[in-house]
Amino acid sequence: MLNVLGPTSRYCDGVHRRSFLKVGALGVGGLTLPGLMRAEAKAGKRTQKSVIMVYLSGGMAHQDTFDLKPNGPAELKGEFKPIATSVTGVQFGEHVPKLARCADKLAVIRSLVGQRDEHSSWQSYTATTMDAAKRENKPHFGSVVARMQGQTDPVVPAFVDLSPTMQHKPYNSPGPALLGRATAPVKVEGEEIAVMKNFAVTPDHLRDRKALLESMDAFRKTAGQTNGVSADTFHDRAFDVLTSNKLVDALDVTKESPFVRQRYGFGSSRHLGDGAPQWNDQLLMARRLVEAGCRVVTVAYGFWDTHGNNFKYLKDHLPLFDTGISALVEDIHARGLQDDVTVCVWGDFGRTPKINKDAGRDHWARVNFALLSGGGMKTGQVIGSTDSAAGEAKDDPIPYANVLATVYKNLGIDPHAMVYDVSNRPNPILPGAASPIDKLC
Amino acid sequence: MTRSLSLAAALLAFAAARADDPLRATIDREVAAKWKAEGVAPANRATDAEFLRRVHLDLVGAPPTHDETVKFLADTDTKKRDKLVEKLIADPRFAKAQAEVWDLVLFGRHPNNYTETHKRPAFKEWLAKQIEANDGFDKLVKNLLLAEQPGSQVFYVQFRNAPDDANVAVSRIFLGTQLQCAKCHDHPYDVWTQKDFYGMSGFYVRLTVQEFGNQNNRTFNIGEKNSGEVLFAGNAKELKPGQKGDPVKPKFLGGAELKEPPTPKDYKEPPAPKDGKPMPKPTFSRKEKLAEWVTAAENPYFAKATVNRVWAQFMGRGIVHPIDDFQKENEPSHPALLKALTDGFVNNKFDLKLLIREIVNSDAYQLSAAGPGREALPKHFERARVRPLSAEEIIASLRTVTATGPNPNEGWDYFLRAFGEPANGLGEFQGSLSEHLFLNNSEHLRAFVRRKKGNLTDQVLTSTEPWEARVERMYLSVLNRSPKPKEVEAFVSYIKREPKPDAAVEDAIWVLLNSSEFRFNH
Repeated sequence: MLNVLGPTSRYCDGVHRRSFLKVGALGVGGLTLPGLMRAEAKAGKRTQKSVIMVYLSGGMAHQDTFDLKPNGPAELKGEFKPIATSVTGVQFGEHVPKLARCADKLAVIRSLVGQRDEHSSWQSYTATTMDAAKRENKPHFGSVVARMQGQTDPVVPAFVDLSPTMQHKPYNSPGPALLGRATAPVKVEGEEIAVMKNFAVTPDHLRDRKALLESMDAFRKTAGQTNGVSADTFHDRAFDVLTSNKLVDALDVTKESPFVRQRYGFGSSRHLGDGAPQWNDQLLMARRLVEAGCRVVTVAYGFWDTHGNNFKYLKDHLPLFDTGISALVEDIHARGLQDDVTVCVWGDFGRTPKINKDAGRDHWARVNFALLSGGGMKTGQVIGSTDSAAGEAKDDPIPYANVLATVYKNLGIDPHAMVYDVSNRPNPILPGAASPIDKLC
Repeated sequence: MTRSLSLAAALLAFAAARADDPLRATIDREVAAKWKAEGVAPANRATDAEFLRRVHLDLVGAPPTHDETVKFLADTDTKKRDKLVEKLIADPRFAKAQAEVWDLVLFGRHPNNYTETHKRPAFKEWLAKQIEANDGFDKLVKNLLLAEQPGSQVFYVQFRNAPDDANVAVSRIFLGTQLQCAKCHDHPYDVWTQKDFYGMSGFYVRLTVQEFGNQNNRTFNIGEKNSGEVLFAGNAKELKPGQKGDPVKPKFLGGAELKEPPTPKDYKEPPAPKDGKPMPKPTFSRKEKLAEWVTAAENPYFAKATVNRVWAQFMGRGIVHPIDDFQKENEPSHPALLKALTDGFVNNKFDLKLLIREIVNSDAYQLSAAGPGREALPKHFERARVRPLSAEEIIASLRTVTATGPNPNEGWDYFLRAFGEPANGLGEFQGSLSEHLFLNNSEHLRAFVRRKKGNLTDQVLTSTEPWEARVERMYLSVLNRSPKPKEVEAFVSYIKREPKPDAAVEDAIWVLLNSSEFRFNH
């Protein structure tokens, strides 16, 4: 059964069986659209580029994970010990051992600068602060990609946002803004999925309905030729999505072997604090989605705002993170996708060198980290460094917008290109100063 | 007027008529004058069916029922449209529906401080009560800005510690003025300077949001301190780090500085009371001065901005359009009409019901939406506008037309995701993919279509009338019009082809609910 809805959803199998409706969740081979067949026929070796971005809501402590300071001042350095990684001379924290083992497949930026103390995903997704992005109507980078590159497959959206709606609103993904609804992410939450998978009627029946609708919907054709009604481009796409099971299949992690699911770690759809859940199934979904043809998949992962009890919390929550992200990285490589799929993991900001009275660390936007993998990048390296307190970038400070610039470049998009909005006005996709990170090229 | 009158007499009669004409006559005269000047031919008068659905949705936020539709279409009273308008304005749903409209104007779908502001039943109730009482829209806005009545306070909560945002919103909504550009630099194409901006922000800078109760039962008090000034440091581009700027006195937009007693030099603000009590009122309230100034009959912006917004609500576009951008470069399309509506509104003590009544009784409002041109919002009001239904209207429509009533599984949050903001990045209509998926296949929609005792599907299936009559019933119920012969034929043959009438009737209703005719008010 399809289990993308998480254990608590009221749409779990069996709950909503409609009595009058011919329930016909499409089995494999139940239906293939001509378009789908074409797409599948073409599917030989995939060369299309894509990105999975994992957003760590709340801001993970950089100095307790990927930038430990064993020789730093005692009152700042925290409880965790460094461990060796698969890259000589590079150490990670003791609670990310699996990531340490695949450090050769990672590039760790330790000197991310320029972020603002802002609890939001906007800096990660738009390369600017929420305020500025809202004021300037800046789109999510996934919308930019959707606008510039379109879909690879008629029934698989270019941009899927797996982030479940979080209580702290700014953690949620920004919208398409001036790029319009056509480039909005397809949100994957309980109801949206239920709509795509629980068929009210069989696809044939749906086509009958559609034919009748088209015969009567004169309004759309005549009076409806006003610019308001005709702008409605999703009318047909909805039918296509409903009559193909490709997207829904991609979201169905039960189609993976138990071994793979075990390797990713399951996690739970239960939200942590006012942030995201640690739902490792979604990392696997993300990989399945990019394989199905998505260009951008975003996942909000975990909740890392550790103002109190930082060390106990991390000790409890890092292992699942370590398992999930390392599984994703290794899986991308094992499937030969390392040149095509970029994985990018980062959050709001770093955390204070000083440990507060509650054994927590507070917000620290002076410096942060980012993990990158795949995308044809040079991995097995650490970029930049911080001072002995892990409080300021020392070598090679990397403005955070450069991470998105790198992502764009990996996707084959010039980060200095223009994207055309709904009224065909050009807009720079990134600030002029942003450029791909040299050391990764 | 007859041709036998002399020209002079005619002019006199004409001029005399203007003074006590109902506003609707002025509307039609001014709109027709523009058609003539522009050489535009107006559309035909809307059919009864068109008018019926349109005015129901516009006034009470839901379409008529099947029986109301049948009754109205059969009614031969020549005054039936006026009577319907009266009936709908007196309907308890009127105030609720208008409150939904204004609530969305005041908050949008994503208000700041979302946790505290996104669910606000008490506010909507307060607003509906004010609209129902119809004690003058000026008083309503005054009460809103005073934020003293229970339920009303949440308006300011979205601007907690953000006096500039409060200023931008109030100026935009009630003064029809876009001030935000003047925050960082003098306005590039309007007259406003940064001093104007910060002068207005000064009215909000002392406001404090006090929160009481818990998550499930939250109330607010909007307190006001005795001290605190907006600091202004010049063009944002030239600011140096750490530069704070100088205090700016509150100044009414385009008017004088506020006269207020000076705060004593050694005044120290007492700490906010911690015992769950509201802050004491200040000795001098800037908020009160602001509320009085904004809503005064002499305020040069308020009445004009309000009638323009209400006009656009019913006619699709403002006389000044965009509606919240009054400025030199954006002249009204019908200046005399705007003036007449403004004067009429002020002279009738800001009577919102009267204003709405006059607009929907005008011939201009009662034109057909079908006609030449492709503009959804015709520039000269030569056709009725085509407007997408709001999320609130769609859910009310689904309940009404299928006679299913509220359904516990409607899933309002999901519904809002699908229908809350059907706009492209420029604010133009664009239904989302999730909207179509919702309509095509959601469990929520199915609940309205599935046979349930007494609902439309059940009525049609129980009926023993010929299928032609039953198709007619479905059309009258869902689209509030009779089907055309071709439509009857298509539906009847579809239904007869299906072996099981249950499924076929559900299909038919599904089709009507998925039609664009249902999705729009036209």
